[in-house]
Amino acid sequence: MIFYLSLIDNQEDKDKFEYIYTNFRHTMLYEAKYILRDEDMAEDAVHEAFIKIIKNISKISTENRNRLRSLLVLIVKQKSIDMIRKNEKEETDYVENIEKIQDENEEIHDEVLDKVLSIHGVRHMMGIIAELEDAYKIPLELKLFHEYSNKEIAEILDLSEGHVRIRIFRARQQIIKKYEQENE
Amino acid sequence: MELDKKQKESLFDALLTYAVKENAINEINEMPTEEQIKEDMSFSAAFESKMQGLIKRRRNKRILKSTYKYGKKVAVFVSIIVSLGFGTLMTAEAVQNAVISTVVEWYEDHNGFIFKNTSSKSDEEILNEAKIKLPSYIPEGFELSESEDYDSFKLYLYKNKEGINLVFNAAVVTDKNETFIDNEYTDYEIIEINGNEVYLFSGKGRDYDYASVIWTEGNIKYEIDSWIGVIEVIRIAKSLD
Repeated sequence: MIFYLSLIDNQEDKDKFEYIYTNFRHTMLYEAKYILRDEDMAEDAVHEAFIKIIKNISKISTENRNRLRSLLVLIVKQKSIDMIRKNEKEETDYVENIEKIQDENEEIHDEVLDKVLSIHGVRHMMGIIAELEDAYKIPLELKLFHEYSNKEIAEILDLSEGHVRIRIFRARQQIIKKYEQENE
Repeated sequence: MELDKKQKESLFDALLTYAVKENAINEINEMPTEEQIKEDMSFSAAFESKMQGLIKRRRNKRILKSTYKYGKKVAVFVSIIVSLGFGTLMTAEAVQNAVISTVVEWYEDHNGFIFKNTSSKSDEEILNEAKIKLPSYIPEGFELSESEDYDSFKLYLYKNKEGINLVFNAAVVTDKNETFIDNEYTDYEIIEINGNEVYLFSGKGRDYDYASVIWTEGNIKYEIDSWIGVIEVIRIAKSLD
């Protein structure tokens, strides 16, 4: 713990951490409990999340309360998922596929684009995003909503940059596929 | 107008970004507010204890003149284990009540205290039996400014008009509890208060009026810190009942 504390090296960041702890720890516990259904594990996940927050405190903005709350929920959600998966092996195909994704962006067909651009297109897409698995949705939100780089996401989620890239790629791919399936 | 692959991708990605943002905002707005959640759930004493080390350090950080540099710290490292029956200083009653082993780690610029409950009782039994004592004496001019008040964890921050902080913290130790005290600008000694072995850190130089005491009694760990001088801090510690 002391090691992580040593990483908070200016007053602004210390105040930021205290603000987060005071105002959002119950939200984080709520999310962790929702996923883990176990009080002790949920507290451990929140604690792990705070350690992660300390490590990344300089990258966290407190300007927008909702956005900050969303970020904290994502971090604790990932920590909770990590606890569930602790003893499970990461899908090996992630590593195998890292190199493949470079030029493999799914072709976006006109039918898909028409649907996205339709009057309820964005709302429909939001529905698809809401249904994505957390493993894909969390990096996607960190990238597109919180505007972190792949490297920063990797640090927050304890993944390699390659894993982050492939998860974001897969998220996008799944959304496109969902549209295509609807057209079939 | 026919769009090429790149244009289609750009358009799709712009809409995807918008949809992800909107969805994230929707999801967070659908959650109960922090205030609503607070009413339904609270953290355990163990969690609060674990986290309060962080908070306390920040609140009292004025005594720290430099940022920790972990690598430098381990230059002087000593561990002392104070366990059952350590005590020529302790009364027979206190020895019987001592159920927490204390490991004190000396680093170059701070002390780490690791308290571990050695009793075979369950967390629930420990929590049911433990009763935190509160100070009956608080120096004149200090008023309660912030508090976290649970049966098994109490953190009271008092302030006076000059802005001086006085922190009283007590926590039931069911498993393990860690606390860190800066020793770079303090002298250290062990004293006895109400039959308990108490670690006293008193400020030196510009921080001459800083004092911190830390000790355990039964299943409970106590700490008092302030910039009001050693005598007043000890007086508060003695007043616990």
